[in-house]
Amino acid sequence: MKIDVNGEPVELSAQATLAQLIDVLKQDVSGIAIAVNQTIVPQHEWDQYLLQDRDSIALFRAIAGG
Amino acid sequence: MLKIADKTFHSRLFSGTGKFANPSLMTDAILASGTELVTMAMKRVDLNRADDDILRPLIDAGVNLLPNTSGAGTAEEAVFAAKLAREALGTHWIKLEIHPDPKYLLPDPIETLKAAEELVKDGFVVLPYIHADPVLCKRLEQVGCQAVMPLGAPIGSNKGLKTRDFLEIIIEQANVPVIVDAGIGAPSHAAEAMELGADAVLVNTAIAVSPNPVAMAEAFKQAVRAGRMAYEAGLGGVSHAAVASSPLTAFLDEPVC
Repeated sequence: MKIDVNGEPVELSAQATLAQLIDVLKQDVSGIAIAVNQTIVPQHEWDQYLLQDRDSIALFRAIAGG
Repeated sequence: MLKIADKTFHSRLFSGTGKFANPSLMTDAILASGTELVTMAMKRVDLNRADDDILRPLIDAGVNLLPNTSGAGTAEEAVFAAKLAREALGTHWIKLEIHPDPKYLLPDPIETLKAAEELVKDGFVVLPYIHADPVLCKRLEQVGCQAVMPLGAPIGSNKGLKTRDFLEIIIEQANVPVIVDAGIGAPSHAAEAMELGADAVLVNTAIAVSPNPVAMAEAFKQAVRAGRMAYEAGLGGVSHAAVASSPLTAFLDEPVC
């Protein structure tokens, strides 16, 4: 299954949840928000949310700013 | 004490987290400033680079977090950014910031009003960043914003209160807290804003880019306190002509009656 994460193609060999994807990408889960196909998926759903082929994932993090 | 929506603040100095040389310096400066609220931005993660972890030190510092919608050019983008921020940080507070022009970073009033209305309806505590437009401030108050954040001068310009006359009008007319945000370049500017009656100020660049941010943060802390104390004590009237402080007698000639 091929998905897009922040503009980068990512290949997943098997079914994966959002939580598993974050793990694979080695991202710290604190302070992040995720939108799949422009819809925000709340954190409590990441464990159950199954990714589909061609999904476009946008991962955002809170960073320094004024 | 300053009350905004569901929070109370002892410090009337709010701080940004941007432009610091490193997270450790940022944390030290924030602690020195005595601030109880700091802003953050939202950014798409670069999968190939690890971002500096600034969230952990901020949580440890015990400050309130105010995410902003910087990067949004329209109301729609700002609403999306606000919802992302709410998810990421677990706060319903948002600094609404929409400035599509990169040269002056002046906030778009129309998109801001539109986004504010929608976000308030969605349960956000909205702190809109805007020009010092008294009419716009009233409109934002009417749609439910819990404070207004008029600018002193363009972001990062350090020019001070270029909008002073209009800040005075806003402060006079506002029924919500007024937080002067952007352009404050020196502690004297912050004190000036507080003397005018502003409820708080937000400072980022002036502290972060100082060669000694920790000392500068302390200086701002004192300036904000001094300005507020002066405002509460009551400032003297301003006159064109002199008003004597000492008796008006020629020194050696006339006795004092």
